[in-house]
Amino acid sequence: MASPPPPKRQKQSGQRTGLREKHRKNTERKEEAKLPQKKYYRQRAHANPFSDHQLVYPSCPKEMVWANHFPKFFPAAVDGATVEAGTYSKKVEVEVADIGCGFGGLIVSLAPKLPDTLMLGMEIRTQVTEYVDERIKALRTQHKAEGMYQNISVLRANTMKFLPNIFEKHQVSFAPFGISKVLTVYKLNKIFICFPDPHFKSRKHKARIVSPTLGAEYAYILRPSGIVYTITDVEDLYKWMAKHFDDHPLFERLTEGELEGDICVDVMKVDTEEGKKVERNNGRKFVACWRRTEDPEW
Amino acid sequence: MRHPIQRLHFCPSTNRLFAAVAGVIHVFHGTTGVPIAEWTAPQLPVLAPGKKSLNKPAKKEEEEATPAEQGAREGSPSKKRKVDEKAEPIRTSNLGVGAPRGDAQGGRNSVTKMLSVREGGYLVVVTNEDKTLRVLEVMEDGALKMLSERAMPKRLCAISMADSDMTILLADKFGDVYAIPLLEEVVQPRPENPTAAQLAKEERERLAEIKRKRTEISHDLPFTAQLLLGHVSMLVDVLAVTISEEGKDKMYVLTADRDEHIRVSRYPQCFVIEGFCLGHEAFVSKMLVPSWDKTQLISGGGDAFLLRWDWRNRAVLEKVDVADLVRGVVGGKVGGGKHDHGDAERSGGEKEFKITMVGMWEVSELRMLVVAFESLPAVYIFTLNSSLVHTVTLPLSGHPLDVAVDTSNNAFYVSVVPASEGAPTIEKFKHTMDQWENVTDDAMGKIMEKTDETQFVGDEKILNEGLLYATGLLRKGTARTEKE
Ligand SMILES: C[S@@+](CC[C@H](N)C(=O)[O-])C[C@H]1O[C@@H](n2cnc3c(N)ncnc32)[C@H](O)[C@@H]1O
Repeated sequence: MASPPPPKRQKQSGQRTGLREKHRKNTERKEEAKLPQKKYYRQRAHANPFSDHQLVYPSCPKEMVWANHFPKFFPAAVDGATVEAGTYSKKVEVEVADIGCGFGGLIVSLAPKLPDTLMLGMEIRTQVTEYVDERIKALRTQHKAEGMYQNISVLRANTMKFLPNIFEKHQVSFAPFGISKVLTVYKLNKIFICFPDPHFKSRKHKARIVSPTLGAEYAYILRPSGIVYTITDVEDLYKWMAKHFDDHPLFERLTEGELEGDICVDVMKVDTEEGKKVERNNGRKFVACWRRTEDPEW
Repeated sequence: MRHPIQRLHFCPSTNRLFAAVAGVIHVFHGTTGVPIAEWTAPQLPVLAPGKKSLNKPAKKEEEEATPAEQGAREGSPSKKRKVDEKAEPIRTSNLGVGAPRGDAQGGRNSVTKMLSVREGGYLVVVTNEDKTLRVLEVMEDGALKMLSERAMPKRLCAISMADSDMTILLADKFGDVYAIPLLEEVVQPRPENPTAAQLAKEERERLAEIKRKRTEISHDLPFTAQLLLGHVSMLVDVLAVTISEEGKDKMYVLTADRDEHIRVSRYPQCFVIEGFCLGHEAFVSKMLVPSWDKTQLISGGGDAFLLRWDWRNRAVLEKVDVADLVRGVVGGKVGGGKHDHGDAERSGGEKEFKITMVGMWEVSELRMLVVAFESLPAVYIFTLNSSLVHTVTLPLSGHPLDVAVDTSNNAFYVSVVPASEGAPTIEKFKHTMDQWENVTDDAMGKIMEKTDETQFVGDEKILNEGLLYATGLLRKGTARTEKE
């Protein structure tokens, strides 16, 4: 009989000692707007994107109450739908989505750089999502005077299944009451896929966040001329993602030149938690971005 | 026990009724019920009790990748098979029934989809255990001749035809839809007894493949197949709809999944998603676009309502409550919804009857729909014009499994799980003088005489969950409760 494997050395997460619960429930910390500590929110690295997870999700995008996520951007209205004609501004649309945002480094870094843009991080792991939520709350409190970090938020979601429940089609035309002309609202403008889990085994390819078939869903929520940003430190995964976006008729690769000066690329490289980790280990980073083209003639 | 008729199909062009009993397809004359022909799906090698499969490593891999909840439908039988080098495969009887108990249960290869196409010239058949699509030629005299066999990577959940019936759309359990030509050159089979050298070569190639495929899709199929689109949720239905717009015929593909989505994609440019019809609260198990008004879509599944859509504009036109209708037959507490909480509910008192739609079929002449629910001994007739209205409930002697409509005679057949040893396995209703009449004639007797020949021996739970009552297992929570 084989002896049981030695216990894995784990980073101290305080799960056993109860410190974890204490930290997360610590109202004192929140009142003083201290940032949460990551170690108390760590969770097993992989969540199975196929299973049900007892996940709560909106049955359709109309059920998303964006005002709860971005209260400062919805001063009067309860939700986007009741914004009065005329007071409509582009600000009420979420324009950036970070898919698998992890601990939220990307949106936190982008928040002050794109202060008028609403950005949503999405993460499947509950505790990691909770961390990002606490982090944003603390940042909002800390920067209350400047009104910063009001433009970012996080949502627990399995993006592989429920993007169309969260985001409308990239472009919605409607005739607001009392206005004769039809308004067209453009939705998402940028999608980030940073350091996604590689799922090396080929039979797991459906678990990858970029796949031959998911491109259609990204194209569905992303407006024409919008950009998908990807970065990874795994060369095989880079090739995989490149192949599937390159092959997709609704995406065209951005050239080096076109990416020059795009602050998003730098943020992706240096401000994501994974980007930092790769930096510490002197790893390589592979960046690739695509522009959403117009739907072809039918 | 007699094996019920799990699938029925009627071909009006040739006036023939097809009845699938386990792995056997019986062909009957549509008017007289005289048996014309039969065809048996090849069975998988089955293992002696206690022994385990040898030639199934690929299968095992897939099962591992299958999440527990989704695996519900796949059922426990296949999970029982594990890899063991020494096991000896043995063949069951061709009927795939009467096989020894135990592991042998996994070997039953039952017909789960059956569709005649091109004026009844071909029969497209899907079987569950080997995940294979077979195209049969229907000969002049009704005999069935197999033209091709195409094994798919994942279990198949729904089929639909496109391109004037020349393309088969296949939706699978892992959410993918493939387009496959109806007619295909037969691929050369692997030699029966490979030599050691051949085996070694194959092994080398296999290892090289694995390396290469780290960045490729794992299943290049040995026949023409185009991956059209994919959900990450299990697909439950697929529908190809051609509709004339701006003077042009346009084709759309509608796909329904276990996570309440109905997706509308263009065809063949399926990479363009036109939109989603979102409004169901539980899985969608069936979609129907009536032939007399293709702008409408009716959908149903695990909810206590049906939805009528203007699907091109993704707008719900009507929500038709069916809870009262269901209650009228089963009595007690009924409901739909996403989850089956099992015990929690039970401790709160009366167990709720969970509404699960088995299917919807149109009787086009009459602009009527026949709707059947799982574990509910009745079918409901609705008329569909500018709204969907229930007109009559027709009681059945057992739980409905499948319906086949004889459009030219305004009649339909329903196969049922017989309530007792002597009870019928199939019933027929005909519309005469504004009434639906239950037909019990000679023809029905002949049909049953034939289909009753197939016996089921073994664990009924496996039959029920694997084949007869599988739709309800799509509800979230059912897999878990089952496992615990
Ligand atoms: C390696 S981490 C990268 C995190 C972050 N983007 C970064 O660069 O630091 C990948 C993240 O994606 C999340 N993820 C994986 N599949 C997901 C899904 N289907 N929906 C949402 N998040 C997912 C994982 O939980 C994990 O936190």
